[in-house]
Amino acid sequence: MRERFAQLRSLVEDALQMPVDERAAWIEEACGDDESLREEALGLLRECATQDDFLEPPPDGVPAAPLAPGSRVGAYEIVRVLGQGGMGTVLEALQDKPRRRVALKVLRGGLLSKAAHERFRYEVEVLGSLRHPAIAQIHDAGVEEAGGALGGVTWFAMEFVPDAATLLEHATHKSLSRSDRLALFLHVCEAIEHGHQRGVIHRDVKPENVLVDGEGRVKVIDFGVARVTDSESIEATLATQADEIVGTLPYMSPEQVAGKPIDTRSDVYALGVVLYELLAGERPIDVRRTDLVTSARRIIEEAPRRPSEVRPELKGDLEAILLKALEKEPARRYGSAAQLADDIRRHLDGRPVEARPPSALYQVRLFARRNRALVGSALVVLLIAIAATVISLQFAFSSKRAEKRAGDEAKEAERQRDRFEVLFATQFGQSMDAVSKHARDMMLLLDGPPVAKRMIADTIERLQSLEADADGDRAFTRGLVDAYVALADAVSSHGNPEPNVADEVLGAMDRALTLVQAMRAADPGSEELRHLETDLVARRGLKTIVVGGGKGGGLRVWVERAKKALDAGELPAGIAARANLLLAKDAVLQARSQLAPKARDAADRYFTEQIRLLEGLAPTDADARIDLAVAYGERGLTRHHKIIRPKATEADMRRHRNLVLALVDEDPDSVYFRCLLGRSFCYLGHALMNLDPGTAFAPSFERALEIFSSLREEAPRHLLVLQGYAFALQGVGQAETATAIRDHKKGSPERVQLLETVLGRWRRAQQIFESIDAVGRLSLEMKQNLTKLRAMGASIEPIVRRGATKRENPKNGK
Amino acid sequence: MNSGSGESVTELLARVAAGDDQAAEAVFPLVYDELHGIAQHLMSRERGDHTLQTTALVNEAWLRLGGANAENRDHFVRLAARAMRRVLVDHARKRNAAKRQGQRAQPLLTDVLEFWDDRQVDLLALDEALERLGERDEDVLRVVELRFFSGLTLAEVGQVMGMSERKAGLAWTFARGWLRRELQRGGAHDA
Repeated sequence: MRERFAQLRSLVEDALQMPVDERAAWIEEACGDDESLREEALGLLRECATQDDFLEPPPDGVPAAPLAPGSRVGAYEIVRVLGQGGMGTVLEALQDKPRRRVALKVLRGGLLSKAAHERFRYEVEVLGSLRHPAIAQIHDAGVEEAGGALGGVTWFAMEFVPDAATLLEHATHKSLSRSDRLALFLHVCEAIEHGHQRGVIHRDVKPENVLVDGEGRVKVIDFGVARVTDSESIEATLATQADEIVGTLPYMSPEQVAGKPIDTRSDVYALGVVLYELLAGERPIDVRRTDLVTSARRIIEEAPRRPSEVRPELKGDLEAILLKALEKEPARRYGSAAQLADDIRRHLDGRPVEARPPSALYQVRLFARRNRALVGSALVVLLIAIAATVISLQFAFSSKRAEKRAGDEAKEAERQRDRFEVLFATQFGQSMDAVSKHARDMMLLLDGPPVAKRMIADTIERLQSLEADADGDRAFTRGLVDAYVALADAVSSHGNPEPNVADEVLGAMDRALTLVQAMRAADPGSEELRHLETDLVARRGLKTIVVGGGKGGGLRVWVERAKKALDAGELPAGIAARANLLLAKDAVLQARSQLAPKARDAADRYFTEQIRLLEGLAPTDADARIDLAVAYGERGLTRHHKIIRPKATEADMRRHRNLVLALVDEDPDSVYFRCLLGRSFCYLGHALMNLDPGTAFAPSFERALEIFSSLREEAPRHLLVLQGYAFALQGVGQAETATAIRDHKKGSPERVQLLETVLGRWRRAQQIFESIDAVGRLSLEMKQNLTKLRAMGASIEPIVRRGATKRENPKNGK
Repeated sequence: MNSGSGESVTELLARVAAGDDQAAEAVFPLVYDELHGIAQHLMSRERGDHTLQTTALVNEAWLRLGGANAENRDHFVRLAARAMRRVLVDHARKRNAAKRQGQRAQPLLTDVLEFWDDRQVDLLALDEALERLGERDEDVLRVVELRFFSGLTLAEVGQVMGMSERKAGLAWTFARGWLRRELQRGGAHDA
């Protein structure tokens, strides 16, 4: 069957390449006396030579020839080609009756079905009903069927705009001033609003669709045409014309790009982009030279560039107006083109505008929402949020100085100042809170982006330049201290070393300490400042351990200072708890290095004190709850390493897990909390194993592995996730080893096989740990663990290898 | 978007590119689901869908299934053409069933189907004829799927199939002739 088909195919295809009158003769000759082959080939040849549209997909090209000047489309005589785009051609044409000049837009593709024809007629009627001086009227539209002279096209006859220039061309050529540009733009808004009032969304607002005629009048073209021709959908446009979308994409609203339903506010967004370009000369999101997928993602996710970054003079009202029109969420934009126009008018009249610059807090919230799944750029975005806070700080301060100058009457100035301080403290405090809350969920990437390092350095520099402005102002300096600390926390938390940014983190902490010391020098009696300094000393010591992995000198200084401060007594519980944590961690380090045999007892004592203090704070303080949950785990770990108190270890680990469960309950999206939870199950598994190797500890490890496996899908390069996943693999392996030893005879194939699985898990865990270690970011605890893992692997490797040899050569084994 | 084995479409396509037929089988249902989903999605938007072309569906599916990896595109397009055939034939079958029960059919692909109705092409009969064609020559079948179900130009078909445009054109002409004969006589023959 196949052979015969191939024979026929080659016969017919060969014949088809010959002149028509030689084909039959050639087939006769090639077939010789195989009569049935000849008959069939000739039959097929006839079928193949039939020229019709059988099975041919709908044609979609506009043939060039029939659109030449002098030719006709329907009742129109073509005068000249005005423009040629991906989707079709725009022509200047003369209508027979009434005799008038029109712009004829001819698009590729006819209509598929009869039902579609009806819809088309209806839509065109609606569009024809739009009558506004700033809208180019649509006179008529129609379809030339496939097979007709044009091979399937849709055409629109529109009001002809004489001597037309696009909006941007006009503004550039006439060198319009900013207020002239705004006045012109108001007409565009009115035209769009007119359509909206009649239920028509333009769908393709872009500078090319806003013409200005020879008299300087605005004419919006193609109103609603995108809907009728379906070209507003990214998928339809993509299908035929990649180059068309390049022109349209930058003006598409995020919801349009995402393929979600759109409404009039989508046009408001596009108006925002047009106004941005009209005023700043650039687009808010530059999607040139990026592929479509990336461009689409950027439009959906990326915040527009602040207009003032492009043109500093746009700072203030116009910037606020533009950013409001360009909000990602339709609900946050102007509700209509008319509202946008109203705000522009307010600006022109010097009245206060409705648009407000987004607060730092709002930006942080936006960040948090975008980064639910912790995408790669989280670190950068967080730093931007901090930078934004710093900038708003700067702004607040400069307006405050202005107040100072203006306030001649001392009393009034004082009053203003007080009011400002309250406002400032609340606003700034809130922003910082939000930042550090999400800092806990900071993405710790396996290969930390170098951009982050630069961002941190920039932010520090900015803060430092503000120090000079502080001018002895206490509230302001406090704000700076908070900013430094928040910055350091944001990029280094969760106990993993951060060699990449170690200098910046410690540098930020040192700046904060220097500021506080200067404040104390000016006011030595202040208890508040003494507390603050102690807090910073403890934080600085902890950072030394975290970012540097405890290596290098310098730690002693902070430990001694913290001890002294604790001895002096009368510290707020939170600060005392932190100081105790530093002492405990220091003791743990000493215990690790085995130079101090009693160090573990000391660590236990300090942790216990920390826990006591935190228990008091936890009911009212969310941060204390987190610290407390972690503290139980750490004390449990200390006890675990001491081995002699298995019951107490287990109790700590249970409490640890329960507290973390409560945290996850509070914030189920937090990757950090879920990492803590996974790890707490590992700890509990280990504690149970130590308590009684016969108990069922396997489920704890399995639960941990489950948690980390699902986290791995969400944040595959997150350090804590990777580390936790390896840790869980190791634990599950340990549980399986116990099962192998308990349930299967020594040397039995089942036991060997199970151990082989275990070895596989451990190898994988080992690889993960080693890859983290390779970039210098494996935590001390896990480093120690890696050593243990290697030893465990080495101990079962020979058994597995013997088993494998036995399987391959069964006769040699006994 | 995950297959049973948890591999991404991009990974699967890379394996298809390396000649792994199992991977092609694994990725097919994903492509089908995606195309079907997009068709559903478009349907829910009540648009003037007369210019909807199957090419649009395929492109959209490509974007959604990780179109970033351009080197796999040809493999994807070949798979998508087959998936598109399934989607259209399934819709035709459903529509016919709905018609029998006197219900109104879903609007979207109906337009595409009506287009072929207007041209008197019975998609279900065509599908059967294509089965027979595939038994005889897999390459010719692919050419038909790419041209008819995905609406590719002959140049594109050639590119995807790794043949010249001229060769693709010849194969298409032959296939049309063969299919026309096949549909006329309802498939009762040998070659």
